[in-house]
Amino acid sequence: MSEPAKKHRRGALAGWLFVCAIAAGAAMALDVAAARPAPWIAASPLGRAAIGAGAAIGVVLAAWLMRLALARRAMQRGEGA
Amino acid sequence: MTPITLNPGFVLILCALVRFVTPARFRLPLSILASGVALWLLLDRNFGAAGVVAQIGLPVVLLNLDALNQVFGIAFIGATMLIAIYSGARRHAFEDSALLLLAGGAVSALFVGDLISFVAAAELAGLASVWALFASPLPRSSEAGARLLIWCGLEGLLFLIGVAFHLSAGAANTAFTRLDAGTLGGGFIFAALLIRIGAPGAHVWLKDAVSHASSAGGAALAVFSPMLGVYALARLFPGDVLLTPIGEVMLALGALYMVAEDDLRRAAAYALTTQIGVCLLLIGLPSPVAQADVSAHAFTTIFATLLLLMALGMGVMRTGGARGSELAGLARQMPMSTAFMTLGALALAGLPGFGPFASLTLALEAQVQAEHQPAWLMISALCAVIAGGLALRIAVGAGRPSPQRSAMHEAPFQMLLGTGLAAFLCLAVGFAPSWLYALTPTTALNFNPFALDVLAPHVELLAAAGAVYLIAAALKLVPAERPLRLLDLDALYRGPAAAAGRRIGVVMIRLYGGWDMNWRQLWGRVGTAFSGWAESCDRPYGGGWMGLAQFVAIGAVLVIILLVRI
Repeated sequence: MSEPAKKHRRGALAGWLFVCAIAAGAAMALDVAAARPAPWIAASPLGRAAIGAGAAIGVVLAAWLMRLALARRAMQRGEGA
Repeated sequence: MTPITLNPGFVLILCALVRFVTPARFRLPLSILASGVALWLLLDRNFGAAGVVAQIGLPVVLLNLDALNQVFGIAFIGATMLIAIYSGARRHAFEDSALLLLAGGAVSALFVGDLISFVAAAELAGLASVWALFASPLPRSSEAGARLLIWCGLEGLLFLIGVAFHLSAGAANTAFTRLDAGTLGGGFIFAALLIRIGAPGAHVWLKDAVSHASSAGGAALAVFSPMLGVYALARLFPGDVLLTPIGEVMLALGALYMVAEDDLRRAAAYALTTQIGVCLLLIGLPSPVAQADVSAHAFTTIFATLLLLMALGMGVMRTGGARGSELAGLARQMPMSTAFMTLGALALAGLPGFGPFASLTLALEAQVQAEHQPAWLMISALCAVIAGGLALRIAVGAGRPSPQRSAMHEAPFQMLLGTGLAAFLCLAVGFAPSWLYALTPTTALNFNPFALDVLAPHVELLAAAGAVYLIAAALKLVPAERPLRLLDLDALYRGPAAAAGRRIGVVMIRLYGGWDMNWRQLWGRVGTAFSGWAESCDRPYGGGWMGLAQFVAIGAVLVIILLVRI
C-alpha cells in the first residue's frame, strides 16, 4: 500500500476512533454521575462499557473463528449464495 | 369514520395486477396512490371486525383492525411506498408487480380475522416473494427462487395441517386469536411461523433470498415476509415459553454469522435475524410492556432494515455486489450511499436518535422488569456487536483507498430519495418515539429513552464497543476482508445432501429402468402366449385324424343337445 493510501486509511480509522473515544468518555462520566441502584452487576455504572468492550473483543474472536471453521473461497460473484 | 370495510391489502393486490397494463410512466404514481389509499383505509376506521362472510360453513373475516395490526400495517404500507419510490429508478414491470403483490399479500394477512384467510394471504405473499426472486437479474437467482419455493411449500403444508387439526379438534371457530402451541393444530401452525420468521434451522432462506434478490427485492423480502411471521406469533402465541430460547439462539446465531460474512447483504439478513430474535424474546415475556414493545421494535426494525438494505442495494446496482472485501474506495465513489449504509447499520445497533434505540432500550427495560438477565445481557451485547461488526466494518472498509475507484458515481436519484426517506423515518421515530408508543397495544406506556440514566449507559455501550473494535482494527487484529462464503446449514442440503439426493436419484432411475424393462419383457411374454392361445381359438380344427375326431365329437354334442331339447 502506498504512503498516502496508508495515511488515508489511518485517517478514516482515527476519525472514527476519536468520535468513539470522546463519546465513551462523556457517556461514562454521565453514567457514573447519574449512578442509581442497579438491579444486577452488569447494569451498574460502567457495566455497559465492560459489556461493549467484551462484545467488541467477541466480534474479533468470532470473526476469526467463524472464518477459520466455515469459510470457503468465493470463486466468483453470486457463487455459493 | 368511513363506511368502507375493504382490507387495505386488497388495494395493493389489485394495483399489482393493474400495473401490468399500465404505461411505464404511470406505474410509480399508481403504486404511491395505492399505498396512500391503503393507508387511508387503515387509519380512517374504528377498531373491530368487519366484512364477515360465510364460506363452506366457516366464518371468513376479511377485516379485523386493532392496535397490534395497525402498527404493523402502518410500517408495511410505509415500506411499500419507500420501495415503490426506490424501485422507480429502473423499469422492471414484472418484478415491480411481484413486490407489490408481496406487500399486498402481507398487508392483507395482517388485517384478516380468521386463520384460513391468514394462511391464504400469507401464502400469496410467499409465492410473490418467489416470483420476485425469479424476476431478479442477479446470477443464480432462479435457483434461489426454487429453494425459496420449497420453503414456502413446506410452510404452507404445515399451515394447512395445523388449521385442519385445529378445526378437527372441535375448535369453535377459526378466529385469528391466541392458540396453544402444545396442541397438535397449534404446534403445526407454530412450526410454520418459525419457518416464516427464519428461526434456527430455517434461517438460511432469509440470507439466501435477500442476497439473490435485486436491490429493491432484497429490501422487500427482508421486511415483509419475516415480519409478517413476527406479527402472527405476537397474535397467536404471546407469552409462549418456547419463544425465549428460540429468540436467544436466533440472536446468537445471527450475530456470529453477521460479523464473519463477506457479503454484506447476507450480513444484513443475519442482523435482521438477530432483531427478530429480540422480537421473540419480547413475545415470550408475558408482560404488557414487552407485548407493546414487540410492535414498536418490529416497526423500527422494518425501517432500519429497509435503510440498510436499500443502501447496500445501491452498491449492488453500481458495482455488481456488496461485499466487505470490495468496499475499498466506495466512500469516494458513492459517498451518500456509503453514509446511508453506515447509518442503517448504526440504526440497527440502536444508535440514539434512530428508531431502534427507542425500542431496544424499552426491550431492555422489559427484560429488567421480568428479571430475565441473560436476555438483557444478550440484547445489550447485540447492540455492541452490530455497531462494531457491521457499522464500523462498513465505515472503515468503505473509507479504504482503492486504485480502481476514483470518479464519483452515485446511485440514481430515486434510489437515494427512497433511502433518504427511510433514514428520515428512522430519525423521526428515534427523536420522537412517543407517537409510536401511543400506537402500541399498551397505551399507558410511560418510558423516556432520552432520560439520562437510559441514554448515557447506551451511548457508553456503543462507544466502548466501537473504540475497542477500532483499536483492534488499528492493531490489525481484525481479520482482513477477503472474498469468501461461509458454510451454513444450507451447505448441507445444497452440498452433501444434494449430491446424495442426485446419487439416490440416479440409482432410483436405474432401478426403475431395470424394473420397467423386466416388466415389459414379462408382459411381452404373457402377450405372446395369449396371442398364441387366441390364434389357436381362431383355428379350432387341427389337421388329419384329429380334425375328424373333433368334427365327430362336436357333431355328437350337437345331436345330444338336439335330442335333449326335443
